[in-house]
Amino acid sequence: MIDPTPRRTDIVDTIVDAIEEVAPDVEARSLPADGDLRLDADLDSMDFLAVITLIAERTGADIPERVYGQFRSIDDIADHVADARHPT
Amino acid sequence: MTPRARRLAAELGVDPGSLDHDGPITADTVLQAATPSAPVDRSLRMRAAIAALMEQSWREIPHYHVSQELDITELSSRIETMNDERPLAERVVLAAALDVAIARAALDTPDMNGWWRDGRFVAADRVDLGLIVSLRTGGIVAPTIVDAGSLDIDRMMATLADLVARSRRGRLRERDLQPASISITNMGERGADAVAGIIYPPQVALIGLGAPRTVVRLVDGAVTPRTVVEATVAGDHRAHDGLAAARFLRSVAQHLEELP
Repeated sequence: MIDPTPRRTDIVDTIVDAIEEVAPDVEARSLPADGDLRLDADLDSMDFLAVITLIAERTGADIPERVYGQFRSIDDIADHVADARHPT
Repeated sequence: MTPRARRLAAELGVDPGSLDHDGPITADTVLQAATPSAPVDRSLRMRAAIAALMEQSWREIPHYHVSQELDITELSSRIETMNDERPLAERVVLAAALDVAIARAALDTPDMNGWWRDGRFVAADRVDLGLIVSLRTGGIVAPTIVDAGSLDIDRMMATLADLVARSRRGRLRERDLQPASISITNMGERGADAVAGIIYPPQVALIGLGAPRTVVRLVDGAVTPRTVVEATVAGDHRAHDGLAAARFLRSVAQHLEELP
């Protein structure tokens, strides 16, 4: 029986992949998971929205506007995705 | 030999003594002489092109600068509320609202929107909005949003996202590189408070936007935190003057009140 709940490492991989796609010049794999993502990866508001949109598409997680404004680190995003109710 | 040529020669490993030249050695001479074993970086060429354009602009255009603080507190709140009710793919960012307001203000203030040609101002018949996009790997490109004055915030957002993405991937088309009638340089979220820019010739105005920041202001007699953006018009004093720029900025502020 396949466990439909994504593991945290898979979630972080998805996040890092999304960053890599939006900002190919950033060494996404070396970003600190608890750092200030926008600062570390030099993402402006359009970049960040693009990253979050990709993550939402790929994980199926709902990411409300007021929540994503508070995301600071990769860990923040991973925590939210892991806890989120995935819409069917 | 110009200082820039000297620096370029050092960076590219070009021996100035070996250069065949008439008159002073310029950056162009050095760039042309760079051998295959010292390849000219694309970003170096871009930097040289920008330098030439900015030199021309500063030399020929009598610039003046006028600033206005734009209070975007309510606008930001309205955008957040709107975004909250939308899926991620349909959300808009503040930059899209600013660009719409600026395009509409340019329609209201035709003196700011056009070109200086043959000793006179030629007004454009629509707003073709030039954006200054910084490439993540350094250097800038200046794509154009054609007929920006006709775009609502959603169309502007979609156009912006697409244009910025393609700019960064080097996939701009001819239509994107059409001459603009007015341009914007936006510092983005982590830029400085204000930017008083250098006009992209032969345009007659460049709108500089500082980073949004929180400040303390008096509203209805009470001290309160507000989110503001400093907008600075760089204007060609041959085409118009500070009053026109002030009118333009007031118009921007008014349009922002009506968005999103």
